[in-house]
Amino acid sequence: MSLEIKNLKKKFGERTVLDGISFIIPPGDILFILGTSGTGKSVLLKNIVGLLKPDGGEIWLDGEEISRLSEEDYFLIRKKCGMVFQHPALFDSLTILENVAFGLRRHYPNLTEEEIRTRVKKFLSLVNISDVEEKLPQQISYGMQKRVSLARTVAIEPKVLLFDEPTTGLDPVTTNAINQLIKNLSRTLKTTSIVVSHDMHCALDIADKIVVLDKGKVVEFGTPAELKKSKVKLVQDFLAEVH
Amino acid sequence: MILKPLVGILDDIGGGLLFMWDLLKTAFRSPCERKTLLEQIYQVSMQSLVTTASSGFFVGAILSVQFNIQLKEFSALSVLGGLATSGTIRELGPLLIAFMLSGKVGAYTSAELGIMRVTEQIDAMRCLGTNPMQHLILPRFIGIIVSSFFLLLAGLLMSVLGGAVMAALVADMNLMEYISGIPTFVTWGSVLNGLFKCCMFSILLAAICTYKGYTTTGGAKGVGRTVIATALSTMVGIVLMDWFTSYLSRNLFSVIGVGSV
Amino acid sequence: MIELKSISVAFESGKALLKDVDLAVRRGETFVIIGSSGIGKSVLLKVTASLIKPNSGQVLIDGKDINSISRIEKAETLQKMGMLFQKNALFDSFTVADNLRFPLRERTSLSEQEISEKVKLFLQYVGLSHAENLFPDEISGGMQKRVGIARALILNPQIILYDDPTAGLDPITSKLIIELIIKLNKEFGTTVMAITNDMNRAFQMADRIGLIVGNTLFVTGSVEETKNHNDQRVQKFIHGQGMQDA
Repeated sequence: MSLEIKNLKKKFGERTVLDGISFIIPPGDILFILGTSGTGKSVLLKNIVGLLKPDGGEIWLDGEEISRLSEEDYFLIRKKCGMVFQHPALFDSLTILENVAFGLRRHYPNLTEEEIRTRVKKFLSLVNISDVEEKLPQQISYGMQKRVSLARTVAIEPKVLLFDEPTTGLDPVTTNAINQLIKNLSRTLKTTSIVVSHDMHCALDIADKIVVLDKGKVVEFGTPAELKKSKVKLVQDFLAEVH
Repeated sequence: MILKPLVGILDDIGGGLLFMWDLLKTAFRSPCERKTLLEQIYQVSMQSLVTTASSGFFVGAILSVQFNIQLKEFSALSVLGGLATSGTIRELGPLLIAFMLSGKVGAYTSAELGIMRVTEQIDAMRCLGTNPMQHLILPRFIGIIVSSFFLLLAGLLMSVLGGAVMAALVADMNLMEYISGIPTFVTWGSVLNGLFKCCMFSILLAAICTYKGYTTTGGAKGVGRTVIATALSTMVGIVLMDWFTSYLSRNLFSVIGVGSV
Repeated sequence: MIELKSISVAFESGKALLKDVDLAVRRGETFVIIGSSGIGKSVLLKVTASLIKPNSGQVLIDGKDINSISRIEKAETLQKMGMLFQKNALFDSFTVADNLRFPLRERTSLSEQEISEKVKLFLQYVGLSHAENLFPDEISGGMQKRVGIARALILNPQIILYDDPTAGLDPITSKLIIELIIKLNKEFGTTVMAITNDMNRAFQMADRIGLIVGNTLFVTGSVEETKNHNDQRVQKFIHGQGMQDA
């Protein structure tokens, strides 16, 4: 499923966060969006899934303009477009099983309890988790919570996966594990994926295309190989971080 | 200087009303699941039953002691039960129970929703195809209103008991004497009056705490601010609403012909 | 300067978190602790700051065991230490300048005039002279971090403990923050103990590095020594390999 962003604009009060963003992702690609904090990377993702409404511009998902849809119509978009949040954002009062089943119950109301259970188990095993279905989120480690939240999103089998800073603040081992998981899930499930990140190292490793944002504008867009030759100062600063 | 807080208050009231409008639309279009609603009613009632019942007991006891001191002067002790109960049902009961609920349920609900907001649980819910207004807000809103009726009822029964116990201790009245005085002062009008007040208070409380919680921003500190703002605005709101309903019910009930003592 | 002698910390359940940790940090040295999340990095830092009492072992600051000296002596010793918390712990209701004035008013006998001069100087150090009248929530995360650093340094501590000083910041801002920390430490000759989750930051600031693995601290040496360390666990950690965390 392809996604195209055309001249997207978003303001909060006086502050312009997105100042005319445009790019296009072909089906099945992994796109990384890099940039310093406060350049509107998360805002961009939230516009795509309709959690925020853009002030201008268009978002085309598979040949349909979606940015002007009502909350009700977004229901169908969100079945196609799954978002993984920066924090695990698991529901505290529900077990791991119920967390993963949450979206399934809404989007696939015809599934039986048995089928839901089987699906949940399948997606938990995709993120290398087993035997914690009956636990509550606060009873498992943060790294595990992150992976459960991944499973919860992919369980509704979206065609587009959006990741909001999936590895910020994690230690190198967990970071690597999550990045590998993103890559494997995207390839196995054949999704189009967008990853908002600070991690140039990982972007060079698993992205098909990379967008670099600065002050609400796209300052660089290309394949990892193209990016390595970039003359943009910010891109070079990010490249200097790769060890 | 004075303009800024004023604008803030108007902004809040406007935002709250829009929120309520949204909630009303949700209620008609997609009502909440009965299971979640019953859970909420059970949770709120159980959370506050002991507090409201015990404060009801003591409100009755206090009024009974106070009236006893004054009524003895006029040797009018026979009306003690009626006066104390009517005072509780018409005014003190609903008011105190509303305060209790705002401290307990209001703070709990706004903090709970606030945490769900700042940890992006509410956004996640929307992304998983669920309308948080329907799934989170509506059951909490209705739950608070329904349970406050139960709680008021429990509180009022306890207050009669508290008043009677006190009367037995300080005025040497037995239970039957105390209760037989009640109907002279407590009419259906005053019960209706108390229930009406309670209803208005709980709608106000439910509206404020769900709105404040739902619109929390700014991480853990934001949740702190939300809880404080909820406590403050419900307290002030309840007192204002008390004045308003007293005024309203006096005129309203006399129009529809229900005597209100 | 800082000496930890067979420090052990256990959870309430009795399960050991840290066991027999030994460490000596020299005067003026910057020691960086790395390790997986939840493995006890913060706890070790808090033990050093005497915010947590270890189940056994000694924390020696300038040769004095801070958990067995008198209250007055302990207060004097702690006066030499500053700590930067992960969440900055700035006072929301104070302006940037008042956040810096606070420790000076509380802990020194300087006159208001002297305090103002000192605050001005430290704001200049961290490049925030223009922001002195703003409140913490009006400035960016990186700027808040710099206020935190200035506040931790303003009492001229001889030892400073940094709990993940760049947590949640993007790499470009993080790099600048660490550059600032290094510059200020050089200027004041401060002894530093820091923890971080970011290997780039660890390599940028450390004189020596220690990795926490399996309940204990394993000193891996200088940046070069750590990078070329022949222990598998070290290589796996810095290259982000190894088992999934449980």
